[in-house]
Amino acid sequence: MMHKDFENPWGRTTKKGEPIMMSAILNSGVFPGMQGGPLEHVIAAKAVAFGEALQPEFKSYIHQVKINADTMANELMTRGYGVISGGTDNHLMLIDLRSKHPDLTGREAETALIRAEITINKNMVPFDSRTPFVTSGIRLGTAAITTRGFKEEDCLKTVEWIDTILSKPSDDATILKIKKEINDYMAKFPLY
Amino acid sequence: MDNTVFNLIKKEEERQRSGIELIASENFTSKAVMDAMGSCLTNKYAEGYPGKRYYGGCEVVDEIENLAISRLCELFGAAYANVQPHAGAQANAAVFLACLQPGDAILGFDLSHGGHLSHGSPVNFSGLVYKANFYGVEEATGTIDMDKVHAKALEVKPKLIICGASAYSRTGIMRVSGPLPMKWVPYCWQTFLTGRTHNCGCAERSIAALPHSNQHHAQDPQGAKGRYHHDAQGF
Repeated sequence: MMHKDFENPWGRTTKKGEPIMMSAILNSGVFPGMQGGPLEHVIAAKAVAFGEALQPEFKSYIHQVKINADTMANELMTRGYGVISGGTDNHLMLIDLRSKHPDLTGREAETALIRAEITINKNMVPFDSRTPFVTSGIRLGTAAITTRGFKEEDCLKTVEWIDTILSKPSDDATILKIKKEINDYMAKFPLY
Repeated sequence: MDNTVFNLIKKEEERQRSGIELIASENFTSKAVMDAMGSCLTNKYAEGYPGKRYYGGCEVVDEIENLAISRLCELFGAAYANVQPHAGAQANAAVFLACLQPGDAILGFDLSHGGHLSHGSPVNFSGLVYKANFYGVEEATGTIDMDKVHAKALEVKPKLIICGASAYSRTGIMRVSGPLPMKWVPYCWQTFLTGRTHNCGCAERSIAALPHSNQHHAQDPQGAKGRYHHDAQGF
């Protein structure tokens, strides 16, 4: 459904007294307001990406992204982790580590998981008792792994790895063993 | 061939291939997207907009930019889109610049509750130039109480309400639960930095755009005079 462009709500007009459309005001905010030359190679890449997103396959991809996120959030809660708001309606979840590991910070969790090649980021949780550089939470999202081809069972396996590492974040042998398992596992999922 | 740089790129590709990528704002683009990124278009300078450039030789890039715009409009059901912002923070800054005066009050989602730096954080232009106010989630539920957002808006009289988030796993605020006098909120701005953005599949991280649609009046809680717009950004 296409909507119509609309006049600006402030009643701004041209010198001739004609109303200025909202599209013109927003365009001038971008250029000359904020930026100089546009990156046309990036704009071409956007055109390609938007074309991909208009294909019917994209809908099933997004559906799987949400199923995968829901699967991970539920499995994390089953294993005793706090998921902020009690679950997810989109592609991401914010985990409060304190409910299962009160002494584990987001920063330590990030370091341990990245050593096993699970890439996540530490994140503040609402009403966090720690600073933004330390944090009590981690943020996880499923858009990238779904592009690789992950389904529900792969997400359950991932949560198992995450839980094992976060339960022993300083255990080098466990982390290296899981890293090897992950490298072997990911060989089955092509990047392109 | 610059082996120093390309060996590092190879190394990064191997890192991406061998691990499990769970960063919520990342994705893997197609080869086609990367081919476009690494094309001769990088040589072209094209200040301005299609049909209104300050440089010559823009006929082909005009076609490309118009194609990106029309596809994005189709994707979001929007009348208008701007595909030039280099990334989301720049797109946000452009909307602030277009809609506000320095010192105007804004209302955004608290960064520490799942919001974004560019939504009024004191270390960002949005908090330095504008008078930032925040809504957040409830400690007990972890979700946003829409009635409280409404009460906060009545209290701080924002010129702009930002609905986006970067770490909120529910739908962000779509509208304020009660009426707001239009003189306070002439323009209710929504960004979908999570959820709809990523779900709309802008698989390429530096994508940023500003489509909007005029989504009034029937379901508009602000009443018949209200204007309610969608701004969407793809990262």
